[in-house]
Amino acid sequence: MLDLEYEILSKGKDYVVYMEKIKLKTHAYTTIKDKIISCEYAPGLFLNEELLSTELNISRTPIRDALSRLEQEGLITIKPKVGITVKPLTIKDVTLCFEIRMLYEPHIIRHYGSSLDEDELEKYFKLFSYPGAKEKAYTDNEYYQLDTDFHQMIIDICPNHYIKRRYSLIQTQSERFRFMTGNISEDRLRQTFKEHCDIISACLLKTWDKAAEHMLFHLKESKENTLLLAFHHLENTNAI
Amino acid sequence: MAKTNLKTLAYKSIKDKIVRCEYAPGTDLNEELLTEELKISRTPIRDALSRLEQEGLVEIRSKKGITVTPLSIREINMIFELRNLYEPYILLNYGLYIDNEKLNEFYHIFSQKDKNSKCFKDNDYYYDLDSAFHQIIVSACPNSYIREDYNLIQTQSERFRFMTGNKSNNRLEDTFKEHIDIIIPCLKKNWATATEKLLYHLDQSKKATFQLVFDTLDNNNITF
Repeated sequence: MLDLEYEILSKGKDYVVYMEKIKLKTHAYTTIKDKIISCEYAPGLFLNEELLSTELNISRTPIRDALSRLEQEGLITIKPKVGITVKPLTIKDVTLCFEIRMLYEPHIIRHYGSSLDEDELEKYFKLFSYPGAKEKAYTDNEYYQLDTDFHQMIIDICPNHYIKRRYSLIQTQSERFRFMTGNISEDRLRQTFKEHCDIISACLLKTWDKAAEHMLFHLKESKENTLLLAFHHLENTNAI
Repeated sequence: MAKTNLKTLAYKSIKDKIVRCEYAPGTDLNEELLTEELKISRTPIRDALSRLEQEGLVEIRSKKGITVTPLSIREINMIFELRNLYEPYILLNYGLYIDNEKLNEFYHIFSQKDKNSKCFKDNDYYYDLDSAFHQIIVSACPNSYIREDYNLIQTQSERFRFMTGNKSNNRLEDTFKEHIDIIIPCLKKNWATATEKLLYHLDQSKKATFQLVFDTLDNNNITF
């Protein structure tokens, strides 16, 4: 905070100009990223700096910056003489993501589980065991948000920045997948809620190994289900 | 084309200096000075810095405020937490994909008793061998995310090595023996035992790293 104030006082107009540039860069980055996640910029699509600049009404430098960042995150590929493509989404990506999650999440529960906030756990337990949940009282978005938040709570108790970073990159991929393959069935939703409750119960009892086992089981089931959705999507759309 | 080469050149040059701690942890970098020093224009330098920021090697906070990411003792814990998570898992599940020829090669190298041989005399060579050995394990894993993460850790480990003096490691003989203890069960396809030995080796490595940091505390920039 103090830094910022000093900056404004000492650098005045330059600083304001600088902040404007940051805002533009960030805006370009977030906008393009959102469109990639929602598959508006579909996997495999060619992007063009000029067209993006026109479409988003932002000049080329912040666009270029944003694209560089997105390339680092593995969302686009920039090849000389070929151009800029939105990275394709493949079945393999599902297995890669789940492999990482199956390594991270049980490990985190085992080693850091005692840092979990009991009140939060109980809050989630109520949400996931609420009778209304079984009758799909949630909209798809609400369900996904709940699921994401629950798993994020687990990741957050681990202070390892490598783990946090990789998880957030995986999250983005998962979101893209969801947009592409559509939403899960009612059955699976009920199952997911039950599996979450099993994890939480074990956590509340402080039986961390058991909780980690439940988490591994849950992730395996989720993976299978996601793969099934992906295959159905392939069948229905002939997409690669 | 020329532009791509300049970007890559800038990236490699700056990264190399960060790894060797020529740009020491915690020091400030300056775009202008970098352009003068490397004789490369600002745009490729800026691109390189952005890439290095993504990799966690520099922190960019305000226009002229670029700092080389500090090294800390907590970082050692994080590095080994990840290595303990990835490497044994990879050995257990993908060990069968490791090239036996390479394993045999390493077996012969690590069985060296001749104190005049290259690995005992050339420090850099020793460290390169050690990396290469762990690299063949990690390379057996088809998960590109895991391999990417491992590269980040490799770079950080190298920085620690240079920060603590890049001196001859008195653990040389022990390291070689521990590697052999891992290789033998691998050759017999006894993955469970190999994984056990790997875990032990990682534990010893971690202890040695801490020791090295503490021993050089007067001369290194490593924070808590």
